[in-house]
Amino acid sequence: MLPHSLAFAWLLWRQHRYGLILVLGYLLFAGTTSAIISTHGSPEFIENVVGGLIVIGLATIPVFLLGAFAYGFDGDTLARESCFPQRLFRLPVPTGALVFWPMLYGALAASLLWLVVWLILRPRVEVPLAWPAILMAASLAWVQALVWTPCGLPWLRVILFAIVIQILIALGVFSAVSGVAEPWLVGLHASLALVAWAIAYVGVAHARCGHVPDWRAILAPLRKLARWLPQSRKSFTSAGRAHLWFEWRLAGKSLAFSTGLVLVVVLMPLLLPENDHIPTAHTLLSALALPVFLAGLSGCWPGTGKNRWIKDRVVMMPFIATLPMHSADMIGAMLKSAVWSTLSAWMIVMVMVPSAVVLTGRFQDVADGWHHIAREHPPGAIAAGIVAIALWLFVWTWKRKVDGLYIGLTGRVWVSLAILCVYLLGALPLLIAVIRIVNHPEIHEVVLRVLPWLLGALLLGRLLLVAWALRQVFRQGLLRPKTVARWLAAWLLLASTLFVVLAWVVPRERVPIYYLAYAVVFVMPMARLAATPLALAWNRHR
Amino acid sequence: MIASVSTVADPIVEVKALTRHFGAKAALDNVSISIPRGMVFGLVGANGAGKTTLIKHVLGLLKAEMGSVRVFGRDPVADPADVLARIGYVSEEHDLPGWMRVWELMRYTQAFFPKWDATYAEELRVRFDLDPAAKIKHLSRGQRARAGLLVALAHRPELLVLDEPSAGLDPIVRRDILEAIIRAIADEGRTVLFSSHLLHEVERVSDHVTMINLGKIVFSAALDEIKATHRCLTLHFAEARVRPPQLAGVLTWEGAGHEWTAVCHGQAAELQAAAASCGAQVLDKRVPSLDEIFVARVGTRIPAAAED
Repeated sequence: MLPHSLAFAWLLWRQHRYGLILVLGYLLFAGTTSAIISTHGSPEFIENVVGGLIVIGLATIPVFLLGAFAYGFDGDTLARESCFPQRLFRLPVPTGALVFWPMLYGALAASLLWLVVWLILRPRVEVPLAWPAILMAASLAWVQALVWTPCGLPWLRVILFAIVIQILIALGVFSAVSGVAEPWLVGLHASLALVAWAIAYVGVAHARCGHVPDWRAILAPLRKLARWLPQSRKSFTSAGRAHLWFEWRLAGKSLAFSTGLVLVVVLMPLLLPENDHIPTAHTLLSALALPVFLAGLSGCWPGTGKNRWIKDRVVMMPFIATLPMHSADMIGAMLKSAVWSTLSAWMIVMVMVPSAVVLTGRFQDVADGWHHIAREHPPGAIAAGIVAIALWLFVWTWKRKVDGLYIGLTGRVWVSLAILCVYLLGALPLLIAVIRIVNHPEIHEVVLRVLPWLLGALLLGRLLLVAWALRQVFRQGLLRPKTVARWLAAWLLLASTLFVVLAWVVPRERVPIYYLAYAVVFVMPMARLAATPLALAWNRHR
Repeated sequence: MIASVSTVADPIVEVKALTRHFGAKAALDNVSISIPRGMVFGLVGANGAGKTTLIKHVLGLLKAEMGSVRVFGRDPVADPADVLARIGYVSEEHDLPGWMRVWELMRYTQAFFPKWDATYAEELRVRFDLDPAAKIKHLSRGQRARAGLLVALAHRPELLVLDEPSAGLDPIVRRDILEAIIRAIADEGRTVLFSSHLLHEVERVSDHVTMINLGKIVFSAALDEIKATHRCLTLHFAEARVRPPQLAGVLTWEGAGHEWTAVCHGQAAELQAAAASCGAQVLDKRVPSLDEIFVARVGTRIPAAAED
């Protein structure tokens, strides 16, 4: 019989071996590349490569570690019940062992990640080794504690998660800038990790006994109120409307909800005393960028599991697949739901941002900025500019929301992983190229000469992809010509409106007209949207 | 082997030479079935035999690798909306959207079926004792099965497809499902494709039974014909035998020494004559159960636990 330590290590390895191999491979690749370049390359090049490696690694690997070591892929994080796998409760091991080993392995993995980052950074900058490693381990421990502890209310775990993550980030920032001695920071973060371990133990012990606190009585007044609200029980007038309702309930509300939740955190710097580090304009711009960013995340759900969001979106239930509805109509409902989702997210931004500006007393900053713009530009141009930006942001948010549909709709994990790998591998050279161009003004002229051709080639590639996708769509009879004509007309109308407004607002001497055309064409969804019916059909009729 | 009923020219479901592989494994191997209107077609086989794969092809959830599938004369992959509008489907998992309430499920599903009978739907909801305000995810497995059956029946489909509907359910829910099938046939003469490994249930409601094993149809005939052409004979031999004798029509032997029991295929008189010719005395003669015939044909017993 294996000792507990090896048994849990094997269990985690067996379940997440592909992901762990990818992570280890990446860390090895990042470390080796960094070591080679630091001995042979030019200093600036090293800086770019190292920066790129760390940005990509830090952004993606912790998400995987959280899912793997907190069993986040196994349970429904929105539910009240613990996400700790029920099957493990039946193992003849004490609760302490159930909790201790995954937490220890998680802490080791998180610390190892920081160690690699530290090794990459060390030749360039002086960074601490101990406290960030322990902070990362403590962060993972807190997520494990949250995910494994039964909660009294549905969704409560997500809210607590958002709060805890923000506190940990703030703690990281504080640790980096406060100048507190490293041993103190190590002690602070280690004690935080110990508290999390204790919470996790108590949570799992309760979950193992089947104890789930029920605080839903708190929501009873809200439920009573909801009963008074008008609720249509009338029949849907068409299948399309019914499925639009389904899509809205399934995936539409999430963008508005997450925007509202994260916006609270994004707007927090407004509460700080006025300073040069985080100017009001930066905070407001971040708030405006938030729906666009979140839409990209909520658009696709790679992977499978028991998580309700992921399962309902990726794994097509036979109940839905056998509804008498054309794939085109299903996609139509998804696209319309994305419109409502985008609108609701932006309505939340439009309510919350002005309210925050007024309530935090930053109205004068905004008024000053407005007066500055009003002095520089005529009123007509300002109005057109606002329309163009609003339209642009709306289209971009919607595009980001629907762009990822083709990934999730394939219903295949390997497609999601392959696309993720392609993005990761493509992002690094792109990042390096951009940084090099920015750092070398002498090549700007050449880049500007080549750029229109490069964009043209990219556009041609996209058009070829669209043509191929539409040909396949027609061959498989997935879309009626009438539907395609309608979509095409809507696309052209939106694109031309955006182009006209941009052409009116943006001065020609600054930006040539063809760049505006490229900007419009690239912001509008094309190839990925055209591939969406193929992805759905591939999933629905395997 | 082709499972067909030659008496009806215009079948509701027609599968011809269907082959499907998952990796190297052949899930279906040259399968052909034909289901005429008004028939209850029982599809039986052990777990992993290929029943669900065949049903998924009928529903258009799987594309035919080789061969063809026609439902109401149409290809369910090329024309899913028209085909599925005439089908009521209950899956083994009873996977309905957990976040919906029962009334929302009824309201949502109604929109897809022009022939939805709201009165009948309400009647079924009351009969199945489903709370309209209850969320699907909070229903028991049996209640979820009933909710699935409700939305499958309420539009009075021409073809009812039930894929292991009673698996893991208590006897009361299983009775509800069987009653629903019987009622569907009795009321309107609808066609039913019923897959199960609970052979006594299939035996109770089916007109025609097709046995499938390892992706191949091993036997297919009308239930009456199966009963008429299979016999279970208990034979006594004057001398103790180590091995049973070679006898035409015997599918399996069980026993030892003087007494052996055979499940045979053929006419009763012929089988008795064959037994007498090898010196055996027929002690008992009866019609075997579908379970015994299945074991005799396939050579594996369906686990007893699964039957209960």
